[in-house]
Amino acid sequence: MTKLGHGSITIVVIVLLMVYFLLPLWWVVVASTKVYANAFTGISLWFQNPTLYNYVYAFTSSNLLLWLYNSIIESGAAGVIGAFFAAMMGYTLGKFSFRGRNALTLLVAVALMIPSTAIAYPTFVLEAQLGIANTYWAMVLPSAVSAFGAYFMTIYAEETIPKEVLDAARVDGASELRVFRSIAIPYFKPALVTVFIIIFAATWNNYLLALFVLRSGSLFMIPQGLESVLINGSSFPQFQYAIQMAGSVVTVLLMAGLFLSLEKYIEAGLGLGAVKG
Amino acid sequence: MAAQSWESATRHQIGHENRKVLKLARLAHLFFLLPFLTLFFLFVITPIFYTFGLSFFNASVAQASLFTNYVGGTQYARVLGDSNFWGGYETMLYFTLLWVPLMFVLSFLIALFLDSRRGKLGSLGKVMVFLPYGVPTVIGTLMWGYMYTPGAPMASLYALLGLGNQALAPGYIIYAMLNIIVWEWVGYNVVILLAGLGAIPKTFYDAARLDGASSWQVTRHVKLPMLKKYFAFIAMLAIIGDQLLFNEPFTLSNLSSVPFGFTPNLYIFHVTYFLSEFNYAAAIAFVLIAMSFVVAVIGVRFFMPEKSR
Repeated sequence: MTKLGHGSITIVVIVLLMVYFLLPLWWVVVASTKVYANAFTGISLWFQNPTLYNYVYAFTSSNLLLWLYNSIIESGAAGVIGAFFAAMMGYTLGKFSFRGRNALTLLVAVALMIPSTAIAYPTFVLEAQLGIANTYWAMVLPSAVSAFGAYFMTIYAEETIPKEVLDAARVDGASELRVFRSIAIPYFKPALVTVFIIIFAATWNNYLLALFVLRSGSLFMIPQGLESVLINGSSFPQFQYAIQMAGSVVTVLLMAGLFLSLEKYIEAGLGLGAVKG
Repeated sequence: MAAQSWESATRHQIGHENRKVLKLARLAHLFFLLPFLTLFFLFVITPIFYTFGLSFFNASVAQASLFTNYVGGTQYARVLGDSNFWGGYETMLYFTLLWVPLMFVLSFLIALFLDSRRGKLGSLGKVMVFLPYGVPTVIGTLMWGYMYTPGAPMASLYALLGLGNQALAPGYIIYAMLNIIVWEWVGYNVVILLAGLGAIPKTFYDAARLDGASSWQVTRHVKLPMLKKYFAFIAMLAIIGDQLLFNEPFTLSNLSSVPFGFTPNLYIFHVTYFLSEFNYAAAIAFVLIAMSFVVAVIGVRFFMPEKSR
C-alpha cells in the first residue's frame, strides 16, 4: 500500500468514527441552542438563530444545579468509600494467606456477576425496613459495594506490590495499619482512580436503584431529575425540552472534563483487570 | 504469583518472643476485610435472603407488614406461568445474541485501527470512542431518542433508507436500543482491547515479519490469540451488562410505547410501582437472582483466571 493510500484510509476511518461517536453529542449541543418550536425543522446539525434561552430557563426555573450537586455528592461518596474498601479487601486477599482466603476470593468472583439491578428491589425493601430509604445513604452505601473493585484490587495487589517492601517495613517495626497506609496506598493510587471512575459511573447509571430508594425530589440525581421532567412536563414540551437539552450538555461537559483529566489511568487500569491473576 | 504467608517467611528472623506481635498482625489483616464485608453482607447477602422470605407471602397494600398471609410456593408457580416475565427474559437473551458478536467485531476492528495509528493519533481516538461511556445512560438514551424524532438526523436516515418513521415502533425498538448500547459501550471494550494489543511484545511482530507473514496473518495468528483472555473478559462484562437492561427501555418508554414486560427489570419495576404487588415482585426478583447466579457460576468456570476459581 502506498503511503498516500494508507493516510487517506486513516482519515476516512477517523471521520466515520467521529461521525458515529460524536454526532449525538454535537447534535445535542446544536439542539440546546434552539427553542423547542424550531428544534425539529430546518437543518438539524447546524446553528440557526442560536439562543441561550434553554440554559437560562434550566438554571433558573428547574432544579438542575441541585441534581448535579446530588449526582456528584452521591456518586463521588460511593466512589471514594468503595475504592478504599475495595483496596483494603484486595490488599488482604492479594497479600496475605489465611484460612478462608480462597472461599472469599470465589465469593467476590461470583458476586461480580450478579447484576446490580437484580438486587435493586430487595435493597429498597430492606432499606425501607432499616429506615434509611430516601436518604443520601440509601444510594451511597449499596453503590459502594463493588465486587468488581475488590476483584480488581486483589489482582492489582498481587501484581504490583512487592512483598519484600512490605516485609522490610514490618521488620523495621511498622504496625500493619502503618504498612498499609504508608507503603500499600501509594502503590494503589492508579488503581484507586480506576475503581473510583467505575463506581462513579455505575452509581449514576444505577437508575433503577435510584427510582426505588430516592423518592423526594431534593435527593434526585441528574438522570432521575431530567426524566422526572419528561414524565411531568409533557403538557409543556418547550420547558421539558429546555431542561433536558441544557442538562444533557452540562452533564456531558462535566464528564468529559473528568475523563480527560483521568485519561492516563484508564487504559492501564481496565486492561490489567482483564488478564492478570 | 500467589501471596505467601509472610509469617512463615519471617518467622526465623523474628523468633519465638515475637509470636504475640504476629498474632496481632493476623488480627490486623482480618480488620482490613471488615469494611468491605460488612457492606457486602448488608447490601448484597441480606437483601437476597430478605427477598426470598418475602416471596412466600401475599400481603395486600393495606397490611402493615409484608410478612402477612403466608401462601407457600404459589408466588413461584405464578412466576413460572407468567408470560410477561419469560417474554422479557427471551428479549434479553435475543438481545445478548445480537450484541455480543456485534460488540466483538466492532471493538476489535476499532482497537486494531487505533493501535496501528498510536503514533499518529496519540490518545485522540481513544478518548473519542470512550467518551460515550461517561454520558449517563439515561441522558445518552434521551439524546438518541430525540434524534429518532421526525426532523432529527436518525429519523432522516431511516427515511433515506426507505424504512419510514418507525425507528421506535414496537418491532424496531430493540434495534434502536442495540444502537444506543453499542454507542455507549463499544469504547469501553475498545480501551480494554487496546491495553491487550499494547501488551503484546514487539519481538512477536518482528519474528512474524522475519518469517514473511502478511499483516492479515499477523492479525490472525498473533494478535487474535494474544487477546483471548481480553475477549473472555469483555464477553463476561457484556453478559452481566445485558441482565441490567433497564435504563434504555425505561427511558425510551417515555418517548414511545415499550411493553412493560420488555425486559425482566422493567417488569419488576412495573409490578412494584404500578401493581403494588410487593411480594410477587420479590418472587420475580429472586428467580432473576437465582438465574444470574447460575450464569455467574458458569461464567466463573469459563472466564475467570484459573486461580480464583
